Amino acid sequence: MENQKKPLTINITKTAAEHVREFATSSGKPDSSMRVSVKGGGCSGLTYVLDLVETFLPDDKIIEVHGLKLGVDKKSYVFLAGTTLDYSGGLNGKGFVFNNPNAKTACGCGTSFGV
Amino acid sequence: MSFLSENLEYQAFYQEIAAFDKSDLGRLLITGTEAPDLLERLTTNKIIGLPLNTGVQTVITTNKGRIIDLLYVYSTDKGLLVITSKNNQDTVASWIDYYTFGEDVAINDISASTAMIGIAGPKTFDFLKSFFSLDIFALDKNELTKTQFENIDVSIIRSDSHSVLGADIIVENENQNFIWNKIMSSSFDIENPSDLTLNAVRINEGIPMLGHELTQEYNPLEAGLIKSINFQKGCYIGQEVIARLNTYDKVKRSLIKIKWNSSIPPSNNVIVDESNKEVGKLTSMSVLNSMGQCIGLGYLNKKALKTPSLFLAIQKNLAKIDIL
Repeated sequence: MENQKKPLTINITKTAAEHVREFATSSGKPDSSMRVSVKGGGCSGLTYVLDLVETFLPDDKIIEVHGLKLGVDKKSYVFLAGTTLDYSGGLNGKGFVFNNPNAKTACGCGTSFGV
Repeated sequence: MSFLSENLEYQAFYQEIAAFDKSDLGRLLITGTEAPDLLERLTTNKIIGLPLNTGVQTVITTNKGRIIDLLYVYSTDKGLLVITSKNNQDTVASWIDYYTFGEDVAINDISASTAMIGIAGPKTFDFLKSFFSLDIFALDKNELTKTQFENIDVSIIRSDSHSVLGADIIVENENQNFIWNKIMSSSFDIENPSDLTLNAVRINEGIPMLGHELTQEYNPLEAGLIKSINFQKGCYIGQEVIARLNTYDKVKRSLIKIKWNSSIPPSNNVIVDESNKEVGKLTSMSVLNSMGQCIGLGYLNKKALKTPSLFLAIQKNLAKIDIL
């Protein structure tokens, strides 16, 4: 069978999706979606940004995974394509974790990355 | 007492007034509500909360903490005025643009539409007071003021850019010649120094320059720019590396000012110790013909700072250099 490349997208694990929903409910926004983006800064150059939103921006790319809608702006998508958003729970967990194949460097605390 | 301050060739800077064109410095006007936050995240110093008409020196660094440029950022009523090194506005603008993700920020390159005239020397304030017919003229370092000269809008920044009292005058490009001619025909004895003189004063005052001391080979701590770094403000690109170098005293090189008794430039830029081991690198130099000497800037390995004798190769000999 011929190898077929899967199109690069942004994925979210079931656990992470559940935590987003829990957080949305506890924030009084149970019907909200999540916007994922990148901004300049952080020690390594780029930092991840998660926002609960009622509506997406007109140019956002919208992806639906595990019943959760994710919106990503075009420029951020360039740096996030192929990323899986996971959730690391427990006392020593890190919360939401980005497994980003584009990230070549990361700062010590893991909140920023470089490509 | 500065090494050159008694030399007649440089007296405009140390005793009188010098005026010179600085229009080749880049000027970006960065507007939008999120401009201070963006520059706070991209450079070493505190930009958020910068009071109106004041400025700060800050360094734009890579994620390895290396220098892209030394910037001067001023808060003005039109936005953040960013002064870059000579002809480096495109690089800085591209860097800022790369890291802009939908923020309310616009980068306007005003380098070509404006001109910049530098005034330096101990009589700078006397001259500006007289020239602009002001009762009092005084500015703190990095303070900006606006006035008019014969109906022409003029911004004046106290920059002390050559480490002596000095101001930069910014006007629309079309008014540059008019203002320049008025300055040079004023009753003050104003000298227009050559590029060689400007470079000698720069080196004498230990001021690093893009492409020489300011490159991606060096970090701001090595370049002596610690005053441009705010260690309390939090993350910016390169912060982790810079903070670690400072906290654990891991800075390996220092910018030094040197002189040697020859007016012949060295054969190469390698600084060696008595055992001919490379311990540093010359990055800028100026021949002082009238003094039969050269002065320079360079980076020296910190371990070599206490080395009794350091040398540069001049023709087939080694010339001893003195750290100033």
